[in-house]
Amino acid sequence: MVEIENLVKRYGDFVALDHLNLHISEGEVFGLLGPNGCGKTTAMNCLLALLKYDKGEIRVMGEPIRPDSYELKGQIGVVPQNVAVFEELNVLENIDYFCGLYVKDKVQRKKMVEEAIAFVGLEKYKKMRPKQLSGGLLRRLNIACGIAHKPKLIIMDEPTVAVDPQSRNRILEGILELNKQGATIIYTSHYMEEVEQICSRISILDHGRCIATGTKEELKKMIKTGETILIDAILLNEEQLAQIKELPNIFQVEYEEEKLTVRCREGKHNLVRVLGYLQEQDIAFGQVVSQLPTLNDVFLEITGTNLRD
Amino acid sequence: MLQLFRYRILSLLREKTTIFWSIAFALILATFFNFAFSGLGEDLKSISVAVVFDETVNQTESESVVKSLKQIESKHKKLLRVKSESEEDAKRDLKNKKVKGIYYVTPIATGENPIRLCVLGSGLEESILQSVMESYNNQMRVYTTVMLEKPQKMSELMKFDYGKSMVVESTITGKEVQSYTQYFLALIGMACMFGCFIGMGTASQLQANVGALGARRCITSTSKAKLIFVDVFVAFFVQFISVLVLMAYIKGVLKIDLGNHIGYLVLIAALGSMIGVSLGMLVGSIGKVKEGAKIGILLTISLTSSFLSGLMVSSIKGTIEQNCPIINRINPSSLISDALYCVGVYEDMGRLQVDLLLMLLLVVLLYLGSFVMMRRVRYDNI
Repeated sequence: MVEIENLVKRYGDFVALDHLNLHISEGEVFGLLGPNGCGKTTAMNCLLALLKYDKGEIRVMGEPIRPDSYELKGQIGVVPQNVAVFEELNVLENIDYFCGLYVKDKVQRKKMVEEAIAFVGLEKYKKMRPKQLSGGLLRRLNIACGIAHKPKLIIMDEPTVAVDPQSRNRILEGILELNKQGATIIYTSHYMEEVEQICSRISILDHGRCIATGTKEELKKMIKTGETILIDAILLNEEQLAQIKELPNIFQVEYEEEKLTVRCREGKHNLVRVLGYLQEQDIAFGQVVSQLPTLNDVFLEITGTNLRD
Repeated sequence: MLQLFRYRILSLLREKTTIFWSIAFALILATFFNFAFSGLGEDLKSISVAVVFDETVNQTESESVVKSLKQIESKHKKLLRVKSESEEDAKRDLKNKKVKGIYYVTPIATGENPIRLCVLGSGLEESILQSVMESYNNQMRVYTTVMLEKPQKMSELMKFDYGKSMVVESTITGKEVQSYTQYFLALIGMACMFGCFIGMGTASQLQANVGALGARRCITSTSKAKLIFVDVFVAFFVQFISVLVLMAYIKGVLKIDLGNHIGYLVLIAALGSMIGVSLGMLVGSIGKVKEGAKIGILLTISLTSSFLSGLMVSSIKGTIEQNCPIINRINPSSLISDALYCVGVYEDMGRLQVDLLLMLLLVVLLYLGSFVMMRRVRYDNI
């Protein structure tokens, strides 16, 4: 569906995209994950033929995309990061306007607009102007304007920024529903939980480069961490920390502000062994948490920084 | 396509700030101008004045003075309501504001000014009484001098009408022109220039590097050329109607004479609106300037342009014409008000054609500039 080969985009001396490669297949919910400023939006603007780029090739549905590829653009729906609607038009009029930029047939458009309104749950707010809507409802309107014409490829650039949990869940469920209906979705976000929740395949971006691509399981298998154990423990000394690190499968031990973090390779009974050692040493401990690896662990291991740093 | 026009018109008409600056502000200003200028020289009422004669003034002389004062006219109306009375009554009337002043009359032969004035305040009416007094005293001084030095010329002098002005105000076409008409014409020029705010809004909604809405509209399957055409046409249309409404209000309701060449008035409104809108589009399409700064630039341009065309000081346009006429040839507001003057007052079609041509040239230049900026379909930076 989308092929991006060796894409390079510079702003003066700053390299925003550094030989970026992405291959997105039809029917995927493809996640583009990375911290703010890593190049996600720049990549999407290049993909939409809005931004000039220095090098590389972009093909959508097998065709190179240019500013005048109107037929191709008709198959694409975009939900931009910033809400982009007319303040003076109400919900219904806004959706009708944007749908009208793609669909000329009035009867067909009317049906599509009604379906889009129902899809994002804005039936009760049809006559309201954008400034009368809450942040969550506004985001839903933003989505409806991008998907009303039923595109085959939907690009969503951080659609849940500043959205309440209820609206966020509704939006995420909606994205999966759109995918079920046949749309390929590119979802950019810096929220790893969202990407993990809905994306079938994920690319992690950092400093304009794609540092890893795969399903969430494949990404997690790329790293050493199989389990992370977090324990509230008091008065651990250097010798005890060294002894914990000697236990089977454990490759990293950190102790800060009475919180013990133990990273283990994949294996059985890691938690039992660590707790056994603490009891043996008569070390008092409180809350114990065992975590399977997250995308943040993947990012941390590859780049040395947290996703939200 | 019709749907695009419909929603653009709707969104523009619902934009309260734009509508205020494009339509309401000029209408309000025109109304204020009308209040300020109404009655100037037209509704001037006769001024009541008391005349107190010195006991040495004989009856013939006193009758002659009263007659002379009563004869003074302004715009075919008697200027003074003269009341001859005792000093005591005159002072009481002045105190009770029944008269605006007291003329004290002494015999001409004394060699002093024959009339002195006593007033209680200062204002237009008091100034007029003073002016009348000075005029009368000058006249009497001339009579006295001639009588003493060349008495044989006295009969000729008596034929001379001092009350008659030597200067006749007239236009080439012989039309009566109100001195404040210039303000209304400059106001129409300003209203045209204020179309720049509609133009700025239009540009920002067409440019991907100016706003999110512009970016969203640039990535649809509707061509940018079509979007530009619809938006620019709607912006011009709304602005054009606003200027026509203002002209109709000034001509029809405020009864300011803009002439009877409706076709030319419509043409001037159209070109003026195009200048305003295209100027706004040009400034609005500058990528990396904040909206507030753009508004500041446009306000400065439009208000300076209006000021130089005589919106605040009516004589400034003439001063510029004498010292640096090129400014009047490139200042859109001056061109618009001058074109309106040509239609309404001068009926000078040659000069009107030059004005229209210059306006057309400005339109072409401004539109070309803004199209070059807006036609971009791919940006270096968003």
